[in-house]
Amino acid sequence: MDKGPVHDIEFTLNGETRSDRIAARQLLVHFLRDDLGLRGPKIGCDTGHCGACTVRYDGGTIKSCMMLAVQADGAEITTVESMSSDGDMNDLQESFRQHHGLQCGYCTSGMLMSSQFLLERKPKPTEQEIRAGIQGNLCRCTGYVNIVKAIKAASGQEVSR
Amino acid sequence: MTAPAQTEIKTPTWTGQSLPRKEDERLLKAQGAFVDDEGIYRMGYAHFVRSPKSFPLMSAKPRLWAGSSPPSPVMRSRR
Repeated sequence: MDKGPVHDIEFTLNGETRSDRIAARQLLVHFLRDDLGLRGPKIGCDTGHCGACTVRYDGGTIKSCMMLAVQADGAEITTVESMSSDGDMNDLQESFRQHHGLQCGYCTSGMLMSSQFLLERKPKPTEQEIRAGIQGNLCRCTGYVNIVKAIKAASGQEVSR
Repeated sequence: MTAPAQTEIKTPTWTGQSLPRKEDERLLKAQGAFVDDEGIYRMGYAHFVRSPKSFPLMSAKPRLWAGSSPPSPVMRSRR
């Protein structure tokens, strides 16, 4: 299929610099998933509501279905794949597992991205701050209580089992 | 009348225990395979068109389209 106008971009993905030719109309999430084969960013709603496609963008977080791939030019993008690059899960992932912070696992990548960002800004968040930090991520299994617990435990705070 | 002797209730080993799930690790590492992750040869996508009318007549039958959004059929009442 004709891609239409294309652009050459250069960006950093999970610590690796790469350059790609991208269709001007392509969304970042489609580029990451379809062209680069990453499974981390998920497409839940394609309208910016669910947060399943959340990735780190220059230290912050963005919903990658709300951005064109060409806007990644010069940016530093990190996906959930970077969390376990050496094969082992990091503390946050381990905490999600221990506290059953996931059920079907579809929102999990986005939740991990948002909570990683939250913990960088607030190393010891209160429950209210955690809930505010993940308000852009929807969990259709409604497992929020355990997600909040997992994030709280990952910050080194006491949680009830 | 005497009350029946109390029997000791033994807690079964599994009930109430927090058990780690087998599938969590791959889901947390984004290695889970949901349908959209895998892709299947000739996989199609479904679009649901909502009708403002109940049991309407449709002016155009949905078919394959090339653009980014499907053509919306016009719905009208039967009476």
